[in-house]
Amino acid sequence: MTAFLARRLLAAVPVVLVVGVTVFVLINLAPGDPVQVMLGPDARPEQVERMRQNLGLDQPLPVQFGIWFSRALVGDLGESIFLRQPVTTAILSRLEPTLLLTFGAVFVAVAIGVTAGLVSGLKRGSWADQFFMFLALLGVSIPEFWLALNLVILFGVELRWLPVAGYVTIAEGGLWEAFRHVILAALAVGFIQSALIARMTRSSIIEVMSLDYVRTAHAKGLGRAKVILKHALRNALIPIVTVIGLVFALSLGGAIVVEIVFSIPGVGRLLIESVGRRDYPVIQGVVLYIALAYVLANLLVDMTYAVIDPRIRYD
Amino acid sequence: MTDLARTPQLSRARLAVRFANRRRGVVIGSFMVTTIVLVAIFAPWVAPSSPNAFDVVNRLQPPSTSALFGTDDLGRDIFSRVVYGARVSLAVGFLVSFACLVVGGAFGLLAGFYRPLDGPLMRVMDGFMSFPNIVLAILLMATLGASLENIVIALAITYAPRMARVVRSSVLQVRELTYVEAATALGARDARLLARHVVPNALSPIIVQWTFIFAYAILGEASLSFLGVGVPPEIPTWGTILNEGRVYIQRAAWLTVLPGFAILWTVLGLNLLGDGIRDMMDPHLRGKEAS
Repeated sequence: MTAFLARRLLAAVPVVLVVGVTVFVLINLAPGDPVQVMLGPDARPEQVERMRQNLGLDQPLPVQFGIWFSRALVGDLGESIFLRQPVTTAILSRLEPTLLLTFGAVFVAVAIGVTAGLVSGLKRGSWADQFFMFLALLGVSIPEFWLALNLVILFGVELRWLPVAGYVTIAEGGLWEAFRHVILAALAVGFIQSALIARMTRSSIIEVMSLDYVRTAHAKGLGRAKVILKHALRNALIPIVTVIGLVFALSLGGAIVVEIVFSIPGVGRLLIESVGRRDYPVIQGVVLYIALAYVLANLLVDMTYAVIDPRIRYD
Repeated sequence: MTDLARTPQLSRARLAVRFANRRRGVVIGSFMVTTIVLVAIFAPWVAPSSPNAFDVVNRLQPPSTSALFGTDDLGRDIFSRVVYGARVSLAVGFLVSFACLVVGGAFGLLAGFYRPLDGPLMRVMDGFMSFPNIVLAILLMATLGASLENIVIALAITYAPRMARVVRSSVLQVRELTYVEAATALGARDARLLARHVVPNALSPIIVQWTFIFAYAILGEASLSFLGVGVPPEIPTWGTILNEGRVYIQRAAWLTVLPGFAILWTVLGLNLLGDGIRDMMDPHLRGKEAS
């Protein structure tokens, strides 16, 4: 397992490198000079030049990339042009709401998705199956941010059950208060992502239920619940877990849009704000962080395979 | 097709009814997509007023018979804006899916047909797929700048790898089949092999993917414009309309609720159509009731 982990982590380096180069090249192709944006239109040319030198922007691009990437590998993503603080600090200070939102969304997605998929797969063709599959179709067709806006109108503006905007950190108001601020956002993202899980669970269960060992389990007199949970679901889990890994990554992306709707000061909002301010180091840093989270989510999925299915070993 | 061929004694009308019953998804999806396309084409006749006509006296009016979807903070008729927005949103969706078909299709074809190219081409595609779509699109928009052309380019780059994957895998399947081998043995050149034998037989999953990318592109444009990094705010698209309405969510909820249904209607229609076509093409499901 350790050797496997080391191999996978090493394999992630080229991916991160490719992402790093892509981001770096794209950002440097962008029109608009960040120094000019920072100093305003009235800045004197020599001021601009001095600032460019201070930030290392006068170096050739490959050199700039080399410096940036080698520092990034040890966790130093440079200094934010606008916030006047290290990019790593900026990202870390916004990480809490995003992570809480992402995990909440994955929880909602798994709870709705697996239940709906299980019922649909076991009662194929029934009204429940049709209802859940229509719900899944809705899930892939509704824009996340619009669902979020509707939840704000219903639970925030009309019923006044939950806060409609902002965030209170765990340190300030405790876990429950922090969670209350991301519940609606997590519901919006989670519902959308549950569609994928529901469809995958359904087809996976339908396939497994027709296999010989399930018939054998029935034949030897096991109860239906036991057959489904111990024999069918467990064997249907591999594709489901794969989709859950994907959902984690997608939720991370969905969180970006939904954070704007709820004015949650997370990593997604940091990205959008930085795009507006042309704060290149932050944009680079956030995208690199998201790519890394993607790679780690996939790694986690692969490791879960071995837990679910003892036949899979990573020696 | 086989069903219809087997029952020649039925009248055309009864065949149509039978088809509609079996392929409910395709029929409903086609209906939904067709209506919105017609609305976009005939926008000047469908919309009661110009999408940008100010009427400050009647600002923030709730939905009524005179303004079906209400009016916004400048007194503009939201229904008219949604109708005209259909033109832009559908055009973006169509152009993005078409660009994906051409670019992603070419990459997928090359990777699937010429094995040495497979590794390098697909690694590039994987690179683009290694971060969330919306992040890549935002990054591209930050680079290119907010404009209608750039949103098409950004979304096409974002979704083209999906098309490339589908085209590659269906080409890989088809190229191993006997009739391709036979054509090769008869001395057909690569261009002829691809054009006459490989592409036509790999077409159905590509058509299905095309409808899905059309739907993704509409959602993508709406999300980017909603975030303010997409289409410039003066052009009415479903995303910009929702972005403008968001500010008044506490006072005028209709500004955000009603325009969203246009997106839902279109994307749902495209997804129903895509799912339906896939079921029709799937030999395992063919001839059974579509669920």
